[in-house]
Amino acid sequence: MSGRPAGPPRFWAWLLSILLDPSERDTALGEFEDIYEARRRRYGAGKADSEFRRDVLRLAPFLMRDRLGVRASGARPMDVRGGGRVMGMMTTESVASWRAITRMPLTSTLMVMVLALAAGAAGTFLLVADHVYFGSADHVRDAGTLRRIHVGGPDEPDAMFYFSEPLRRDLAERVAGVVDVAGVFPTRMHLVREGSEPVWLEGEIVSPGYFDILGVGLPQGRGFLAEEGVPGAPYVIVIGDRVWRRAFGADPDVLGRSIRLSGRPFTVVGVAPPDFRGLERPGHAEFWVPTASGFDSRNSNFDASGPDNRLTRIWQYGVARLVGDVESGTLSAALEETRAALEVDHPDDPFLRQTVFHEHAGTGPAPGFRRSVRTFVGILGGAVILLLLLALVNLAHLAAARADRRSHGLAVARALGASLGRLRLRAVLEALVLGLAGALVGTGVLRLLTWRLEGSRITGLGVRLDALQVGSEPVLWTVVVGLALALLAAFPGVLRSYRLSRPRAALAAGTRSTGDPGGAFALVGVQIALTTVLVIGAGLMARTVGNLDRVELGIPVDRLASVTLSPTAENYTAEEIRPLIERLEFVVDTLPGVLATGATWLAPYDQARAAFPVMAEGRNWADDAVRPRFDRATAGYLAALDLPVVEGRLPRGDWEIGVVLNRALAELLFDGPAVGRRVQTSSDGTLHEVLAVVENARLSDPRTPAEPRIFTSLWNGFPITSMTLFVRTTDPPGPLTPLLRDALRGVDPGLPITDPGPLRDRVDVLLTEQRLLAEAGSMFALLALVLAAAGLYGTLTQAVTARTREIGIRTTLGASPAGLLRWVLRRGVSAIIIGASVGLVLAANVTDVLESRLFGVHPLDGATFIGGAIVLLAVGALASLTPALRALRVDPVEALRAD
Amino acid sequence: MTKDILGEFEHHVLLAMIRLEPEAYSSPIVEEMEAHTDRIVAASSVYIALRRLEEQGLVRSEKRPPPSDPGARERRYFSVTEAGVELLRESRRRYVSLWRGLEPRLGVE
Repeated sequence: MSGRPAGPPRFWAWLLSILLDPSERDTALGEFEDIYEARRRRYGAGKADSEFRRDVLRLAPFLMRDRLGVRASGARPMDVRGGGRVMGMMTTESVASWRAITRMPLTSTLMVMVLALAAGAAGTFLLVADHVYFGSADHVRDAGTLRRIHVGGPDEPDAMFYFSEPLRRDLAERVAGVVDVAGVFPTRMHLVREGSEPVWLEGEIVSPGYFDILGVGLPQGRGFLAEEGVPGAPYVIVIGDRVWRRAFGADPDVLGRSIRLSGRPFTVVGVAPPDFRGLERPGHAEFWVPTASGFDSRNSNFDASGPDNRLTRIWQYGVARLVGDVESGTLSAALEETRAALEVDHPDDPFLRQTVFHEHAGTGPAPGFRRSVRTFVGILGGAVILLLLLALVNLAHLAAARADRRSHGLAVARALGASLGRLRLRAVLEALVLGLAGALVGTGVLRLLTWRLEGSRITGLGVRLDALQVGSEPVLWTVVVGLALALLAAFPGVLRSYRLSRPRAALAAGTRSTGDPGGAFALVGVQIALTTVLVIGAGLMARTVGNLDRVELGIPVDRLASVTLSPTAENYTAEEIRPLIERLEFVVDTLPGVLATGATWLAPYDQARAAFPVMAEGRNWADDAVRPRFDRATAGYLAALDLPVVEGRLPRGDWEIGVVLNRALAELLFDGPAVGRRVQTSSDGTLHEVLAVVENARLSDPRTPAEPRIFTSLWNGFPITSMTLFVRTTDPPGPLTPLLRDALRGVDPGLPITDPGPLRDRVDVLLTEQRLLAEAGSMFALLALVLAAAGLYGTLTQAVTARTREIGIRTTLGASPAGLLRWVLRRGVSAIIIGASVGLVLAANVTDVLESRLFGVHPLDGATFIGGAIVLLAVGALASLTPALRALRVDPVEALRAD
Repeated sequence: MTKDILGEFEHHVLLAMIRLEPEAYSSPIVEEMEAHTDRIVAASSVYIALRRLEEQGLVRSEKRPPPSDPGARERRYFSVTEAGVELLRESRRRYVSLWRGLEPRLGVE
């Protein structure tokens, strides 16, 4: 006995209930249940169930038409007019289209899957591209007259370290009337909430004029006043929309309330518009604080009014608004004029000689990765376009195959008097239904791909994808792409198969057509060409990732862990930080499996890098200073990195005086031994003795060769508020991470710590872009291979079926099996060879766009190209084999008797 | 506007309905038809036929609980309109006229 309670099958009863008009639902359902019950008593449950199912299926079209309003109440079915008639025809044709689709489940499913993958990939691409590249920062007024100003060497257009406050003021005064300049310093502060770990918020320290210059209107409150940029001014803050909602529960009276960031209370004076996240795209800023309170709270010894801190980095960049009717180029000229004037005022300043002002567009990605983002988006976009083309070709192919298979039915319909318009309408509706189905599945693909992308960083420069919003826009794009593809693909089929005159249709209806798919081979050739390009691109990226994983960094990267610490201004004065770090180093050193522990200012493989002038003693500061990477660190850090010592001895314990150079810098500064000689690291003439020279290591990026690098003591120079602890372990450091976190918490439970984990993770962050490209490329290439193989297989099978009779005749006339095999394979192989050759030529012309993303492999790498061609040939041969064998199995007697 | 000819199935539905009046709703109509035709009658066909007949003004319907049990679930009761009765008569006349004289040949008494 079945465990189902008495009553009609539940699914079918539910289906019936949703089909019925709500006003009739209870009554009609009750009556059908009565009938079911009567049948069950008379014939048994099995018969009653099947009759009920049959009833629901029979009723469905009738009830659907009823629900769609096709049959106005009281009107006769033939009496509908106007909109009702069109609606009726659309409904009938939609139902017919749906039937046509379900009659070929395999082809339809394939089409939907191809559409879904292509539309989902395109939607994801548009989402990512929009997120990182396109469009300007929201809410910025007249982005066209906004500029970013960076100060750096002539070959460092995107440097972010030398834009000081005096420089900003000089610039604003000298070019007054032309521009208005604000300084911007992206920063992070932590928000401590009761009972939870500190949360990092990203924000910007800005000159008071920031909001005015950007022209961002605040929905609540105001921007900053000039006096709020002066040291000693009260702490004020403009919060982002998210902070307003999360920290203040969207309190409408938030103005004047207080928020504690990095231990200091800030008074809220404004709330930014919901989508405004700073000037950069993608922006992450969630708060803005004016100059003085911002730097003060970072424990920095910033003094904006000081006369001699032109060299002290304060702003990362300036943002300038061109005032009035300024011609392009005016700003650049004004900037150069300012620099020349400053150089006259400060003749001894090597900084001014070595740097220039660089002008960039005001909004969009930060200049530092504008080019790299453009390349990334371009490569991904190219792959997506190839995939779309491939999908289109494949869909056209499938649509043509469908049209061929149905040409007989269409001819019959046409001969019986169906109007061409109606047949075309049905074809278009079919494409729309398929497109819609593909688009719906495609939004699922979009969601999956975005989940995969979320949290990844593209390049080490800070484009994070964690704020990807799958709102209505990307879904709309996906649907539009899906529908457009389906319609485009259906178009040739509509034109060809539906251009039937009645007499021709009558003739065609008399015979079953199995036409030889001549044009289909051309489509297969195109598919193979596109696939070749994708396979080679994916191959190059895969080799790149392999090479990057094997690159020798020069440090024991797999036995190092790191964690970033940010002692707060609230809990630690500048003087208390050193004892804290020493205590932390000591505690971590005692953990099991730890060999060495040390702290550094800017962690290797992090985004922030510092380079300051250095020269050998006795040289000319203005001419001879070089700019190596600057690592301020404790002695333990050098021990943790375990760099081989070329010369001298590494400092130990309380290292404060003297510097360590890497071999590249030592060779740049000195001929012969460097240890014992002295270097100058600032214009004030202070000299530092070289204690040791260590071997070069790739500490900035695994992709770039080791740069000249100088290591100085963490305790020698301006106070530091954020540092990274490095731990070298006997074994891979994964299991150590929780112990490390506990040990640090043991010293200070409130100490904000970030990113504890193996150093390999930091390296991997830098390689995300290559991995994403390799991953996306492989996925696309695999998909392309499957599509191309399916296309080839289908076309050859069709060709063999179409020529069964001819094969029969050939066999009867004594054709050898080998000859027959050759005859079939010739068509497949020629499609592959022609397609792959075109693909190879195409690939040779496009792989150079990958060049900047390749590592250790040339864009025209012979092995990859040959490998790609072999993969295509192998897959093509496999796809051709079954149809060829089928031709061999043709029974000549059967073949001749057929028809 | 009314039809001038009834299909066989509609003819059956109308006759079954008249037999059941005033207790004619879909479930007993189906049973009545099955009882007289000795085969399973699709309830969906009866449902659709009743709706169409109503649209054509040949039957009318009202929703109400059964007279025997005012608290029970509502049902849609059908009754034949004058136009329906007229069409039935007309259909019968055509059948009878066509049959006339054929009885002995077809072995019908």
